[in-house]
Amino acid sequence: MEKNSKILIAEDDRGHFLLIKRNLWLACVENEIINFRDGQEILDFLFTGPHEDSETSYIILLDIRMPKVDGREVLRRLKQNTELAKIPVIMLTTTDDETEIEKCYELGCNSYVVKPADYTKFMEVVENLGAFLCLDSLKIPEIQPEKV
Amino acid sequence: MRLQKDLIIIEPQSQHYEIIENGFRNAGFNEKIERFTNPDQAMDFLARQSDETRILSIITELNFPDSSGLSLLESIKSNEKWRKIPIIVFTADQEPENVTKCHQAGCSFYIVKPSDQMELQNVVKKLNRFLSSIETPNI
Repeated sequence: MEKNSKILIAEDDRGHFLLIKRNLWLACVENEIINFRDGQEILDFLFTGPHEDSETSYIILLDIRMPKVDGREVLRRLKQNTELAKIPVIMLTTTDDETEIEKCYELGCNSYVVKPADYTKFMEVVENLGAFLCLDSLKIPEIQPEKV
Repeated sequence: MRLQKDLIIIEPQSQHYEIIENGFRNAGFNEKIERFTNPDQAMDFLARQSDETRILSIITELNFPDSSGLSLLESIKSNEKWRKIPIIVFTADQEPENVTKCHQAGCSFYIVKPSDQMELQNVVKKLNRFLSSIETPNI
């Protein structure tokens, strides 16, 4: 994806966030990465800003179990908003429950990735994700924050 | 029991399809691949599937001689039973307006097919690695 797209990571576990960030970087991801520590923080950012540009593009990596507002509720609110619904949302979570996977797809998640408990496998999953996000061919739509 | 996950590829050009399929196979993809040359064939295939069927993803071209990938996307995403199936648009069409339209219609990702054969294989290889990490529900 283009280098000016930003990666928003909603992840309350600081250790997990740093591992994800490091391995995205190892996979050559050069995009700006912003961390949100709970669901309310990322909702506040997306609905009220501040956004640097009148047109911008984001991709979201979203954990499910988070304080204040959980990831599923964040996903529901984003996909109900015409403008924000265009942002690709990849669930990145330890939850591999079939019902949860089904609910997230029903709510419109773009992809669902399970964080393996095993450290090496977790790193491999994040590197696969990073290699995919680095593709120039991957096109992310622009959003206009004032239309949110 | 390990569930089979079919990958559906809708690609009108045989030469492109062969490069894509070979790319997946060379990258170690060993699930079943269903190939269709137009969206109607894919819809007929989905209509014949049971509730236990798991589709890893549908990878579709956007432009067809008699139909469009966008119409397919809208039909699948408005169908109660099929709307959870991830759809990846894989097309030579780079028009930003189409990127927006496809995301509004619910595509998972929009990937531009490189014209260079080696680069196309590289994209398929990385797409395969990513797909190996994702979970999908039954349809």
